[in-house]
Amino acid sequence: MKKFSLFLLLSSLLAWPALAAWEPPHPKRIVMPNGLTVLLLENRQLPVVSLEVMVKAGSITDPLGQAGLSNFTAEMLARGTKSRNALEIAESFDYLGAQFSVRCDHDAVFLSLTTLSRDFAKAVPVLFDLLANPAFDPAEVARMQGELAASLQARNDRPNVQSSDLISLMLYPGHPYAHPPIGWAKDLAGVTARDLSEHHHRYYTPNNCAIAVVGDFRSAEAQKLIRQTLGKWAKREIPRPELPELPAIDRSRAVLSHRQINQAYINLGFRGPKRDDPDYQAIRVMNYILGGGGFVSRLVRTIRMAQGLAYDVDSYYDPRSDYGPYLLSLQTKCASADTAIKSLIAEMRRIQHQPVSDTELKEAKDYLRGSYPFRFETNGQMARQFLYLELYGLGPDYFGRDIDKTMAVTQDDVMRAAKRFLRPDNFLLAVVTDTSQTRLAIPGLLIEGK
Amino acid sequence: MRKLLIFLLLTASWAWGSDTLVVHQDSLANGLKILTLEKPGLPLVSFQVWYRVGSRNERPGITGISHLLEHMMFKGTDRVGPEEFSRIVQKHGGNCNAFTSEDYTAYYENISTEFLNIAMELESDRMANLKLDPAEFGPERNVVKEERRLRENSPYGHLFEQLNAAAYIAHPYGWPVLGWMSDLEALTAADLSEYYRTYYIPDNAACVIVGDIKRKDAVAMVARHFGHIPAGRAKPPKVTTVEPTQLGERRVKVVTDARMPIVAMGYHIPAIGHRDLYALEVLSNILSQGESSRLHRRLVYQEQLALFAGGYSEAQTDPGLFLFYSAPLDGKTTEQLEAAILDELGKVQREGVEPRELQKSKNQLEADFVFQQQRNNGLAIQIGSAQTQLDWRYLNSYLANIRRVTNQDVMSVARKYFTENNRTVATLVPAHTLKNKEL
Repeated sequence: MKKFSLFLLLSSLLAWPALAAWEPPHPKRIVMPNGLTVLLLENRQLPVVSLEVMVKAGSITDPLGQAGLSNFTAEMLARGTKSRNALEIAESFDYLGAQFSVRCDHDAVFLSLTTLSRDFAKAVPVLFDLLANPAFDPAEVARMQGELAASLQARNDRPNVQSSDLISLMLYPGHPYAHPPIGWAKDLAGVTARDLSEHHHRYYTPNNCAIAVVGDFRSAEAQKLIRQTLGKWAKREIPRPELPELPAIDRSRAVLSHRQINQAYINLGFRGPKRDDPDYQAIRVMNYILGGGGFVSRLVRTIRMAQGLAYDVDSYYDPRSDYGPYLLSLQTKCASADTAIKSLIAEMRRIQHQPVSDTELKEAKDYLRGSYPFRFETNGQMARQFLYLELYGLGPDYFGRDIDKTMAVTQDDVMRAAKRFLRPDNFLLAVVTDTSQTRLAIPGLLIEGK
Repeated sequence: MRKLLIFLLLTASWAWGSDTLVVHQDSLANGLKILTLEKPGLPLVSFQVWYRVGSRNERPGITGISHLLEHMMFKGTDRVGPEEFSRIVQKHGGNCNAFTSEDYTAYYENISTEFLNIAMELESDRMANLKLDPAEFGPERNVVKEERRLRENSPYGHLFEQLNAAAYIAHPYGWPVLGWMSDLEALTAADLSEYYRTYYIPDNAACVIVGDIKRKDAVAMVARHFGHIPAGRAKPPKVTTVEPTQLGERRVKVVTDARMPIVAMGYHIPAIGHRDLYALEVLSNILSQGESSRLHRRLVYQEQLALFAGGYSEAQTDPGLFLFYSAPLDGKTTEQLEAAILDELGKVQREGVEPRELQKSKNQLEADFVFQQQRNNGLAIQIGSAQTQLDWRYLNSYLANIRRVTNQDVMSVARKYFTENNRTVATLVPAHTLKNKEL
């Protein structure tokens, strides 16, 4: 009979590389005379290079009444420059088998390029051309307008997306975080080529950008390439977007939106802290225990496992430059919505008033530390990690500090973070459901139908 | 005491980023195969167990049982309590999950190499000692029913499900991996237990290990953890149903509470390993990889008919489908999209493709092959799925086979498979566009 020695085998006998010896990578950081920040890390494991560009021109820079202008601008970059048309740009990346994408997030726009190393020097000048010299040809603008309108329509056919759009709208009245980066149809219809060109001129400047290159390339050559193509790109003053004061959420309110579907798509939310809050690590540990830790989280244990109410249930804090959303989300059959929401509220109260156990705390911290290297598996991931530090001004030694601060979080810190940021008595609630089958009886909740 | 035999079956020389992957294949006396790939770098490893069982092994009445069993695999053994599995992996910084397809069910742990033994101990335990407690079964079945509802509320999920149901009249690929709701209701813990005993045996499985490991140590560790599990008493039953040749176009409509129509088309194609699939794969890229591809350029960019337009070939254990899909912009119709896609297919059949397009497609497939080597998990999934559907060696001749594809091959597969009689068309119809609005 084989004797079981579960989890007691001595791994050290095998001389595997130990996690403790792992150190987060450090790129070389250069700031060019025009203010462009360049981060370089050579990694010759595979003949692959990733180059990522970040422009601090996310949807937070959308002017009032022009929801989606930033994303529209970003989407237009690959639709023609002064010397290349849209099809030529697509063909030049596609022919090399390069992966190229543009993504507009709330705080920044990211351009991503991955190529075989032999093709790097061919693909990069194209990318830099569209970053600095987009044409905003009116015919191309009209074409994109049609595509964006259709994307928005397709988006509304997904009830989970509809629900998350609804909670953003409730959380951020009059603020650019109210809309998804893609924007709103009514605003996009009025955008002109001139608006786009002005938005580009305002925010796409070298001093508002950072570029990270990771992979099989030579630093000296990449620097030369960047200097030659972007060295003459002129520095300009960047306007700071004026953000409105957000009204306090002083009571719990729900909006129910009707769809002929067999599940309720639920988002319960409030506004979290800014990215630079000193309690950031305490929130992460707290959230891992509450609903961020996948199968080990309390929300999954009570709502999915014990009650079988939902396939997906989680809580999520999205840190941003302004107050990012903290959301508790799930989907359940329409008739179970009330029970499930009550469980969400009860779990928020529990973590606010009872200390988490020693085991929960230790396992959360061990996970957050132990999973750190998974953020650095691919060249593209590494490049994005480096740009994230630039975006939020976290400094080059951040990763090590982040791990240390996470490991120092105590039970009291977790409870303090839960009390500071969770709002079981004044939350907002978005529910997309068949309203004829959903009855909510939650004390103190004001229901505004839709 | 069981005697342990380890055979070294294959080695090859190799360099990173080249056309071939240096996979070593070993196996245990109980029939368990072990595929290892040493990938030095971060101190991480992906450990995966692949079972050759999926919805193709099911029959009417028990559809969805493979996937439901995958969920129950996290519900405990005598040693590991329900859902303790994930807790143990995560407290060591790892992550774990599983997925089920028509052809396979796979379990993985991505974890620091120093804790590889923990992943193995957990996987071997549930290969041999799954509890299938009826008290755990009830709530988990409800979770899967919620997953099924989630699918029903996704326009694409719903449409492809109905397309498959129409394209296959005999073969199990006709029903969804998630199963039909009434079958999920009817299944019992005892049904799952029998299914588990039939298919979760070492001789129906392969371990795939990719990461910062040494093959010899990793194989010895597998032997220690899995060597004592007895081989199955019987070979799992073979899937014998062969889909009859389709004798004419089939059309289905799916009416839902969506705003945007979608059209999807499926053509029957051969199983993985058939030489025609390489030409189909090259053609798939020419038609739909990137914004310069034929379908995107014409339907989305030039004629502004569609929000998106694309297609792909699914290489499966048994003959699968080549699928096309597209959604119309406001004021355009699915009929226009269908006509435009068919016109493009007709052009390939008559005129073939340009040499530059052929080269572009090959460049893309080659680059993707290298890009995929960046992540342990993705690489292990490639090896595991190739092994489970056919043989992992398929990957090492893949690029050579792709490079051999000629314009003549592309024309000939287009003529052979993209025929009217071999076609199933499914259309998602928004309820509000119908005259009598019944839903």
